[in-house]
Amino acid sequence: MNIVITGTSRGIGLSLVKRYIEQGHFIIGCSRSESEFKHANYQHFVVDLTNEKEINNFALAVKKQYGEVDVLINNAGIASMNHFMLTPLETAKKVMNTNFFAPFIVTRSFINALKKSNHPRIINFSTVAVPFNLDGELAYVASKAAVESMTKILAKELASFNITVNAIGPTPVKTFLTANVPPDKIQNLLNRQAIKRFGEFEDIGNVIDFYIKESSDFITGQIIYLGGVNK
Amino acid sequence: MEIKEILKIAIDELNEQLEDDEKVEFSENTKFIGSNACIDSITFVTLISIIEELIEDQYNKTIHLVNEKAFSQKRSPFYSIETITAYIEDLLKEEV
Repeated sequence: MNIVITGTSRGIGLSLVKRYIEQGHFIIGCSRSESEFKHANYQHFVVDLTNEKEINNFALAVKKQYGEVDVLINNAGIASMNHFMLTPLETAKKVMNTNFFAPFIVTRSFINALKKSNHPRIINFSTVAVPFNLDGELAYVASKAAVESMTKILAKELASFNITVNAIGPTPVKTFLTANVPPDKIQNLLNRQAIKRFGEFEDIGNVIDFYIKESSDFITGQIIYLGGVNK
Repeated sequence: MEIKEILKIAIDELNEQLEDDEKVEFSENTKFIGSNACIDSITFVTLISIIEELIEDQYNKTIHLVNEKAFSQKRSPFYSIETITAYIEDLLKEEV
């Protein structure tokens, strides 16, 4: 399969690149900077995901080169941890641009390439912070809540193209996004899960494996949270 | 390839997906929106998607037909074959 993953320079994105190369797929990744990761089955694009023109050119180049895209994983995201009263509007806009508008534009740009696949899949990233309505992360949670709505509505609107659209809501995972969160705050979060531990890259890959299986043609509009979290 | 030819191909492609009594005629009288529209909104979305894809293939350019420019015009550019053709030609000129 040809799999497009956004935000592949590090963290979850890079782990997914390695996972799906190991499974024999071809991966097209992107991030704001060049990637240090090199592999015969990996091509990296430098793309500013807040720039519509750059995204369109990225999608066009991928389509020209590979024809079809089977899976689009909208992984790129940023976090913002601040009380509402301490969140500048510009910060909120930046979070919304990267976490919601970027997957909105990326998805739009890759529709034609996805339509050429026999089992096209779109996977979005939410977070358990949405069902937790996590205080101190308003902009981040609002952007991911928007991603959840987009996932459910796109599932309906793209069903006629045979494209399934699902999302995963990871628990905290040890990445750069959580590196600066105070340990007691992380522990409080973990305590709200049914299974009180950090998520691993493997846990995320497992859910995505399920979504992208050919036999998951009838699974769409779903949000799976890790760690036993429910809405 | 002329834009009008692309629209002809797009409508042929669309017709392959439609029932006999829903097929769209490639004619100057064909209306795509409004009370006399020959297609419903979902079919309209499919048509837009086919046109965008054909333009991408023919012109090596990505354009999104439904954008702010389309909404800002007094008369919808998606009214007829003629208006869609003129609108796409405009968009492509802007892309240069």
